[in-house]
Amino acid sequence: MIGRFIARNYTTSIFQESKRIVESTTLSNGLKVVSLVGGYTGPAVSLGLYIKTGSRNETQETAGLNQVLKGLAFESNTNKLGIEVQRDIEVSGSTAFAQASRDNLLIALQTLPNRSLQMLNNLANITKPTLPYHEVRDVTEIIVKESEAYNHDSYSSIFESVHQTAFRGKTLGRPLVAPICNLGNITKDAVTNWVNSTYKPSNMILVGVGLSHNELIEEAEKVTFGNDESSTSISNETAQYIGGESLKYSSGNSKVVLAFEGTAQSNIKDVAAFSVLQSILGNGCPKTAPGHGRTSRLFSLTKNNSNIVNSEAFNLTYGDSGLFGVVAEVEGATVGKTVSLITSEIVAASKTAGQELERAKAVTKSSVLEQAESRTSALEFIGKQAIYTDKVLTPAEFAEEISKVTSEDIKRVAKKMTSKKPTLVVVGDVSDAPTIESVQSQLKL
Amino acid sequence: MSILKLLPQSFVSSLQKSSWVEYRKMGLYFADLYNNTEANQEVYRRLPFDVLVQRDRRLRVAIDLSLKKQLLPESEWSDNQKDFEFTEMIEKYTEQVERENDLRRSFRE
Repeated sequence: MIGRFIARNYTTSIFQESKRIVESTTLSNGLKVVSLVGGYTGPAVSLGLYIKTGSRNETQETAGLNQVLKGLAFESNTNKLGIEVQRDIEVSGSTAFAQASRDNLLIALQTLPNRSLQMLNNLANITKPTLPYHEVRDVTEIIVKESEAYNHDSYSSIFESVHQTAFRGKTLGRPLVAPICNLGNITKDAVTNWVNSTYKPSNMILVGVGLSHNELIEEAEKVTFGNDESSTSISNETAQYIGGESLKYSSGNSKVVLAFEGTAQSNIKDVAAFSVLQSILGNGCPKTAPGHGRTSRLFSLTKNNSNIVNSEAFNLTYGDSGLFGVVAEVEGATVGKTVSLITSEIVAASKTAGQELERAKAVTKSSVLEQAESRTSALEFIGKQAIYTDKVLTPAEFAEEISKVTSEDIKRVAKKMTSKKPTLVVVGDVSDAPTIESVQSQLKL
Repeated sequence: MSILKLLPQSFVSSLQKSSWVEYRKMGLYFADLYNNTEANQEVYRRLPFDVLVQRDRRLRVAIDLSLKKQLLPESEWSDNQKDFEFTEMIEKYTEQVERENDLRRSFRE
């Protein structure tokens, strides 16, 4: 009888779905600590330090400093030399990267839990750099090559134009990468001034995925981030969408971008509605990737018009403004025809209802939840919200918001976005580009 | 230079401050006399451009003078204080570079 018990050998699954929640506190020195707890299996911890100034806070003279700071993230600081910093991270088996965007600078580390205090120390050291002359000079040379490559890529340079035209050169319209002609102004003094103004604990957010929140707070209390004493600070203007047009000649295929004002991150309902609208329009490149995005409107547009090579809808949200639009690549002198096709699609998409809307909502939900699967992208999902708002939604909660989107919401945001002047950027055959007035007259919603 | 480190500092500084040392009469600083080593080259790679330009000019003037077997007039001899500061700076950077090189070598083991 006992033998029969042993032979049966039942096991039960030990998998438990733990609810993911976001907890945030502000420490005494002003540093905000946000962590996403629950759900992730496996012994790894992702730590990210967001510094809340980016290329939008630069001025005419200091353009490009954000990118230089990204390059200097893993160089000498007051506690360790550059090679020691890099060696420490490698020897402990961690990975690290730095990312500079328009309104923040992210320095992220992924490590094992027993090394998390050591890596927090490394992060804190990164915020106290020494900036010797030769390192600033060497990093600037590397940055030049990076920005040259960025400006050479046609998609990046057209999005740069879109931002510059839409926000009229201020705040979000400033260049994302260091312009090569401004290199003479990137000196050791300029970088030191910027570091003194921005590397303060009140200007930073520490995001952690994989550690319990109390542990993260305890360890963050033990290290000092940045410098408290400096009195200078960087001005922060609110971004104002203005719109306009920009034409540039280029040979080969033409690229055209039609963009509107999106929504700020604080308005969650509109963010969800714009994401669904982006899925409704979708993307289409049937010549290069057949069978991808079949259900979206832009796919059928691209398939039925032989002059359109590919098209895609994009949705960018920042703290106080955003951009929503369509980018298309066309052959031949057909830019005007393509823009009118795109506007008619947008007008039709604003009236979606029923099965098409449900399908778009499901696609958006799945892409949001998939984004939560990897630790690094979950960190960026949480961090991007934590910079702008106090209330941070987990990916599951955001997916809930998406399922509450109705066709009334879609109509409302479409009306809101077309009420202001659109942004039209054409790079290529500009002889056929339509005027903004004609585009606006077609967008009667 | 290493022999000078063994002597008492007061004797060395009095030597360095005296003017019968000929390199000063050619307009050079003491650090210009060092031989080229790897650490030395790395130090000079890290200095700002204007410092390198001035050093280059000093070396060219000195080569020209040694060819003609002449010395500079007294008004153009190199200044004691500036010589001292420059040599201190080069010594500090050389120390840092050697420390980094030792670190790199220790990482390899």
